[in-house]
Amino acid sequence: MSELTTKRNKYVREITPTWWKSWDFYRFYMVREATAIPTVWFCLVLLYGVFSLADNTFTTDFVGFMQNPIVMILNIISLAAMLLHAFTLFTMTGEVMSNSTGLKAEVIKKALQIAFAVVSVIGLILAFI
Amino acid sequence: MTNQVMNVEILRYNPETDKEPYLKTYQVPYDNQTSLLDALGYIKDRLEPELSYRWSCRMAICGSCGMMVNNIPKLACKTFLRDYSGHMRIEALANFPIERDLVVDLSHFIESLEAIKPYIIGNKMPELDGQPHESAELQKSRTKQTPKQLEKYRQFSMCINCGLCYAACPQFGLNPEFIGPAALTMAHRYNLDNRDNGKAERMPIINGDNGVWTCTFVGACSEVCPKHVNPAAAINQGKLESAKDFLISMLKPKA
Amino acid sequence: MINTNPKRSNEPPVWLLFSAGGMVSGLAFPVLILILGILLPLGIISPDGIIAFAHHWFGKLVILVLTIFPAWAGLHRIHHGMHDIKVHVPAGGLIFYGLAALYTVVAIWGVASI
Repeated sequence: MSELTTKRNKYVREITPTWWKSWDFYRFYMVREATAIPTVWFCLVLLYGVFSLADNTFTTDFVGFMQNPIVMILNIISLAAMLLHAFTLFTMTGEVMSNSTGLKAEVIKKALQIAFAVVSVIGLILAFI
Repeated sequence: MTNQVMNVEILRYNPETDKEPYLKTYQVPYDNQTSLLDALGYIKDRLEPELSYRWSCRMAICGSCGMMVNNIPKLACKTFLRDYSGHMRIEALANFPIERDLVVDLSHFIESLEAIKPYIIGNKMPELDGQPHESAELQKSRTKQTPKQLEKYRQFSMCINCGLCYAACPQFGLNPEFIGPAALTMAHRYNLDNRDNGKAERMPIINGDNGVWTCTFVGACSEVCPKHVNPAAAINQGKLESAKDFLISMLKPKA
Repeated sequence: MINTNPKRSNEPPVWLLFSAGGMVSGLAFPVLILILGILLPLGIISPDGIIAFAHHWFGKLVILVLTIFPAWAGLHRIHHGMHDIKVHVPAGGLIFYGLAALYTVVAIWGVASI
């Protein structure tokens, strides 16, 4: 009796580190995740602020640092990044919380956007007082 | 109707003769009603009898004809040539090994679906004995579900097991052990069903490193799903459940 | 074959911290960067209010929340991002969450010193 061997010879396609370049949807995901870098940058800026508050150099050293043109550019980029992060997060949070809260994802998203507006207004008011 | 011609480039692979897949172009006449499935049929009938691909219902309900169209996972029967200008590149469904031409090995997908126990467990109604009884008596064995209870999981139950979500998911591409969107959505569907009492049996897989925690909410799965099941929502709701399960397990005294 | 009883993942605690941090940074960082990064250096607002706020116990609590949670969120995302671009960081979890823990300790010590 002849031996039956399989003719199957599966071909496995490799995933390269640049897989995300093939589709705009993936590119947007990478940009969204990359907002983590400006997040960490600003956390370090805040930490520097905390140190300068502790040794009373806030008005001189910290403000001076923030006036540095490169720092200002980084901060403006960070502002844009955090806005992207915020709005994508609100959509995602809507999806995650919709079933357990009984609210529609769209409702949760809108509620978070309103919360964002409230926090921003309160923050600005406190800054100007 | 103008009879235009589409260049359909297909990734061919014959396991018996080829070392690796290669692209081959076919000219396919089409009108505004021609689907990709129709085009493949034309190619197989007139140009390339050896072309291999799966298909069945041709109406986006069986889930057989999933493939990559210009790098995006689609159902061939639901993809129309009129939406592409001049050139389409067709490849086998991504992230799965190619068996031959457009046919892939879906074993991991099937095994993942089976592993999460996709059936009602512990239905608490009295068992039927197979004998005829008064209707009122038989009704006691019927599990009741209100429309509101159904709505909790209904969207997640619409999956046709086509595998497009696995092809779209980059985390599955990077980790072939990932249980994957469809399986995790189905697990969540049963956990949300009021007739089911088997959540505890599904949690170990959900809680594992290859369960919900491989997902980073890319959302591509929901983007390509032909039935709008929204697996991304199901998986990330699953993360909430898994996190709750983790905290509860930490508070319970060790057995 | 699929392992039907895998080891429980350690992700939940860091994911919960990431969720909290992501929400804090999403809601508060835009206005915070506007205030500290643009209005303050351009002299549109005075630093006095901020200094007074930081010396109050409530202000210190707010500063702790605004620094610690977003740091965990950012480092968590970078950790997973390394996996996404196929950069293998040996003991990645230890490094990224170690940095987050270090930041937490430094932030607490810093705020306590105000």
